[in-house]
Amino acid sequence: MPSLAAVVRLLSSFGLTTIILLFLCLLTVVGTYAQETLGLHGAQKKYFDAWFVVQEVIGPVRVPLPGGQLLLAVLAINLVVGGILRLKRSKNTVGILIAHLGIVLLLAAGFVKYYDGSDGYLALYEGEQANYFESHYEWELAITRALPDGRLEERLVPYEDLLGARGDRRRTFTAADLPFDLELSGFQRNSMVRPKGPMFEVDVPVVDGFYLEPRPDAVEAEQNLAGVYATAVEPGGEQRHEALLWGFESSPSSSYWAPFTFEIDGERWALDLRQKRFALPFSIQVDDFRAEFHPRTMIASTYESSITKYEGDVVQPQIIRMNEPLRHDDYVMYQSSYGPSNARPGQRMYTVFAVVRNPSDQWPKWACWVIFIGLAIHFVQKLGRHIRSEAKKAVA
Amino acid sequence: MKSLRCVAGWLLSTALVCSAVTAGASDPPRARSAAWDPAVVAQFAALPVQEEGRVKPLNTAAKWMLVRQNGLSSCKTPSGERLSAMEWLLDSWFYPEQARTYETISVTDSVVLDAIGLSSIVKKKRARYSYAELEPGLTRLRELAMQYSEIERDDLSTTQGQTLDLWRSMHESRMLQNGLHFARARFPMGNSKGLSRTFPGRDEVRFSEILDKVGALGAVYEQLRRGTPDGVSDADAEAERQALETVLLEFNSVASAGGGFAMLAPDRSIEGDSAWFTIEEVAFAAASGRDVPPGWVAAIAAFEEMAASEPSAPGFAVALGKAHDELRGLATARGEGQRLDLEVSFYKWAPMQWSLGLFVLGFLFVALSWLGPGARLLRKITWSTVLLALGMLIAGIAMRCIIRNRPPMTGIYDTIPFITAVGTLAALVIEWINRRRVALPVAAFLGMAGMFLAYRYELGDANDNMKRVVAVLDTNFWLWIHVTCIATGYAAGLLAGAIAHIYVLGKLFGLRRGDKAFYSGIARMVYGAICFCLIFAVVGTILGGVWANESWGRFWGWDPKENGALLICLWNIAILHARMGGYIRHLGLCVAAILGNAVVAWSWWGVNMMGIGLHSYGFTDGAVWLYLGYGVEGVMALLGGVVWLLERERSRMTPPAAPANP
Repeated sequence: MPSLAAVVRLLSSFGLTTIILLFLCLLTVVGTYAQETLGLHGAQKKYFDAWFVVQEVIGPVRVPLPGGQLLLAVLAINLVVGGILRLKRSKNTVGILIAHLGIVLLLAAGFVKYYDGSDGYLALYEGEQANYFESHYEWELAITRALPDGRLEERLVPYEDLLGARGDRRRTFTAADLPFDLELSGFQRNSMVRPKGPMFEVDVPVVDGFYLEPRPDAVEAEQNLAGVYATAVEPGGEQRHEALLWGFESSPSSSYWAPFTFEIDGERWALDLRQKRFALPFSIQVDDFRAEFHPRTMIASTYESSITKYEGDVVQPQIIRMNEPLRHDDYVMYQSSYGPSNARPGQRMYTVFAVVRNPSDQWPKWACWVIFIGLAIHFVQKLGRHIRSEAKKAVA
Repeated sequence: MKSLRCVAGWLLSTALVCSAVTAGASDPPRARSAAWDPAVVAQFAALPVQEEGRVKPLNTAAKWMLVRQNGLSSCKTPSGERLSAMEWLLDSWFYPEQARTYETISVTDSVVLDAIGLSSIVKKKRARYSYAELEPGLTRLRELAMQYSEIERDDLSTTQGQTLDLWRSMHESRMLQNGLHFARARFPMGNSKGLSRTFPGRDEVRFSEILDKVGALGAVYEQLRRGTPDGVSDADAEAERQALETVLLEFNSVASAGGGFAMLAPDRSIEGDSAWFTIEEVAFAAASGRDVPPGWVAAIAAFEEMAASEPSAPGFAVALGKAHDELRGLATARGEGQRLDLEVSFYKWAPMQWSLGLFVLGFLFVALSWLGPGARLLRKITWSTVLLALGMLIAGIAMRCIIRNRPPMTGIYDTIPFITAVGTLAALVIEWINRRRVALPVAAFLGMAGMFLAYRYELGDANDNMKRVVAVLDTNFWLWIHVTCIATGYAAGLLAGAIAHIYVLGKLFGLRRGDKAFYSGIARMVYGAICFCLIFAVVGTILGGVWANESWGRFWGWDPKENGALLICLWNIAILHARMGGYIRHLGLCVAAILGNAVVAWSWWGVNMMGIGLHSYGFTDGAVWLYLGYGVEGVMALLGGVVWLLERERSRMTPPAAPANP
């Protein structure tokens, strides 16, 4: 059994640092090339967000590799133990110590963002208002009841539960105050709705002449359009409201938004498959969107959105444009893109904001300065010593 | 991609219109009798043109048009006369019949000629042809181009891409040859009383005169079309309407014949219009009832004067001066085109090409100094030559910054001269500190290789490399701070690798065998360059993340370019920790630095060729050279392994030193 001292020696060794860094190099290269086939999101999940990776080499040959999470975790320990706690303290290592502290701050920023941050987007047509933003990758099913006073009451089936209804699996959701059971099946992360023709058969349910065709995950995961079969079964099981829900209908590219609706005992209900929503502590309304192009080109010189931010009684007009986001506590909204891409002059436009909640938003900037100062001190010291030694040699 | 298809469609439709136009123009002179006067060429060169979102001198537009067709910025006439791009453009404008015979259209693969039924004219697989030679295949070429322009760019085969290139070259040639069609056009009055009243005492009028009155003529025509005015017989009204219609149609077709450059800047009367006008657009705007600024009419009239006389005639120079003043005046009034003269000078004095030549010369001097005699003097000459080359390079970079009012790097081309300059400068500083005659040849070599790459890239890309930037890059602060840091890191990484080559090759071939101080000195230089690389790569990479966080809301997105920069940081940190841990010494450090070259090349070029991510340029033309580079560095690393084995063997065979006498 190795002694504690031996473990500490190992964890603080240059050898461990070098090995981790070389594995990180390898993972970076492999993970980058993997983006060609898996897309950015897929490669990130497989290589950088994972603890272990099984890498295909040639044919059936597979090689296990440490994933990004594992490497960064060990690197952080190695850095703290070897680069800070056990670092020999002298004026010659001041710079190294500072640089290592900066890297720790940088890793901490990444950790906080990964575990406590969220990001997504918000697409709004001119005149529209919202107090939420949506995930790029995750979906949810909203069950909405129209209350007599005109308000909407909403409950959600989260993404994890939707994943449980994939393929042949079927899941049933019940609640005491729901006048029906909700059966979900055939969930697809990426799908296309097709009309069922008379000349062919399909092995999935057909609803109102349409069925859900599974599609492989898109290389750009943001382009996935989820789909699911949903059936609201009234007590007794005699009345069934069958629906085919498809994510496209709630996307900004869709020209209309039409959730599946049905009535039970005079109450109106709706089912909507949409990208997972995160609440914002304020709401924004898009008043105007403008895109300008460099003359005689299709190169955008600027695009910007005039918005009004509502927070309680505070109404604040603002412009969000490239490199000038809207900041509100931990939330930041960036001008990301716009549409429709083939809009005619005068056509109503929608604007897309990237929305991020990141408690460690500014930490990398501070870390950058700390690392720069540390490295500068260290290398200037080294250069000074080198020049002095060369000068001595020249004199000799 | 959509825009590419739109442009191709526009080219095709314009070409169809061009081919329909014949009426109303006098024949251009057939051949030029004397060389172009340099003063005339210089004045034409400085005319403003709006192209690709920016105002540039006509000279720049001509240069890139010729490079796209010819692969070079100059061409030869059948008589062997070498023409600059501007002279070629002037020949195309003023002597189109002669310009048609210039072999300026490069065909990369003769398969394209086979496809358009011109197998009989094939000279060799890759050759240049004249417009006249290729013209018989134009109909088939147009059909194929229409077909291929519907295909997404990424899905085009090589031959299809080359067919579209050939079509573009043919179209641009014809556009130039028809460029002054408007200036030669004459519109007869016929029997029109309205025209006779508008232009009293004239048998025919010029394009500029019609342009000036086209709004009024159009109004009369519209009135006649609606009905017969009081006091005029129906027959007279119909005759008048037909006469006016003929003139207006001819005016329209003459205007659309050339396509041409957007040289006419809107004046203050046209609010909120940032796009300049071509002759065709001017005619359309005027016919649509838009006011025609007097400056446009005067400039067009000046071109008509030039088209009507020989360049040697005194009236030509006067008209050219008038056109120059009017066009520049229109641009200046809008606050545009203030650096046209500087840009003309930049291409005229060609500091980048001069620096390439001087670096080559410097490297030759270094090589000569290795031979022995006069080494001291040759080293001094080398120092001077390389310093001069670096000075030219820095001057060129500075001129490009001033012309664009931007930091040194906004596109991938810009990174090449910048990295070359930083690498060379750093090598000279190392040589100045160490005086070991190692970094000086490296400086000359890096300068030569870098500027050769810049030259080849520029010609291969064949596009204006001072283009406008996209919205997200429209921030000089981040362009300065992040891109400059990263590129400096690249430069230092490449410098470390270059010096390391000397270590490995020197050891392998027994250069200064036994001189430990020499080799430890080289290793220290490599170490210093790696440290230099690391600090800039780390700071640049983090600043890139900070910029991304400011602009897009995420510090790190695992984008291929970000990963490339990260890899440089990781690799260099790994080297330094391996060195500190004693796992590598001098030789290991140098081998790692050589492999670092491959890392830098991957980060600089490799990830851009993947066709994915935010920094993707999707080009693969230089992929072979890149893989060759990886291969060379791999072999060099293996040679480092051979050196290690040889040294180990040698140390085994060397008897241990005898103990010193007490």
